[in-house]
Amino acid sequence: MHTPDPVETILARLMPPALSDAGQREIEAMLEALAGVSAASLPAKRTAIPWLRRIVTGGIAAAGVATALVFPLASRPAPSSWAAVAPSGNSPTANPPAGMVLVSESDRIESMTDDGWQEDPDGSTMHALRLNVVEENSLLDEETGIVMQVSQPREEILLMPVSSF
Amino acid sequence: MDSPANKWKQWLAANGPRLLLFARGWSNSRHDAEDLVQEAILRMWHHQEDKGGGPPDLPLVFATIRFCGLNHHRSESRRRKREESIIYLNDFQDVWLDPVLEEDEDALLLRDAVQNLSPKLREVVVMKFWGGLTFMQISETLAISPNTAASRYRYALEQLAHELRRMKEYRHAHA
Repeated sequence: MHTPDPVETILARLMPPALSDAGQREIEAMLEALAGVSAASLPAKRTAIPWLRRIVTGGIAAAGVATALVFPLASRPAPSSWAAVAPSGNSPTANPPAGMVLVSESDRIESMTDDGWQEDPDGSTMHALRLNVVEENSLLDEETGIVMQVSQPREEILLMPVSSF
Repeated sequence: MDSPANKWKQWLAANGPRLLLFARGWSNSRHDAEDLVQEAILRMWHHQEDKGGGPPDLPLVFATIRFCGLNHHRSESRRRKREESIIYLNDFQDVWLDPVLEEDEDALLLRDAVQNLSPKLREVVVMKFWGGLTFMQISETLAISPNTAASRYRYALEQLAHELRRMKEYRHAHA
């Protein structure tokens, strides 16, 4: 039977703290959104992980843009709420044409495949993962009240340094 | 029957603290660590969709947090290159572990010692002690042999014991 090391006995008197209330709420809301219970809250939750968008990539924009859905908007949201999700990136919808307002934006990871080990330009060994991401933006035509959903698939390569001991 | 979201929430309630503790090793602050946990859970959700949609095994989540943390560290390092000489600035009021008992001097000393372990030793201690993983699971998470995982754990305990003695002597000398 394993006899606890004296240090282990002291370590047992230390406990990891729980997630903060705000952090717990954000993750739970994300889970709800992912499960489709509260899909509308997904874009707002995504802002809580700002560097998710800054994933290291050797990214290659893969495919074109598809306009997917067009449906009438029952009631227009207040302009102040649109500003909260205004784009900051360089996507095609970052600067929507006059009369169009960006209502929401999201990035969805569709699939992830292991590309094995690769060598970066510095000669370091890296573990590569290939991600298929779909960026989805909703644009509101102010004149007609129609919302268009624009989907843009892209491919990203995530590189992780391989460490040794 | 429980909805998928509820299953994941229950899983998060049971495992959130240990995931947060592990993420602390890859983050500058508690807030960043929570972001890291959230990113890992997001990735895990999509990963599990093809496997029935239930919560993942803990070793896989540790590996994903580590993966995200390495990646984040790499991009941050690039961004801060030539701007800062120190990458990780710890907020020493923002502790990683809480003592079960108040004024537990040994536990408080060890808490500091755990935080100051090298990352390679600390992640093994965290996964083994607070994560409840076996050396086999740790070895799979870190892509090392089980013997190496066990060696790192023993070496970490020796370092912690040494550091505990050193800090106690220092305190007594300056009491």
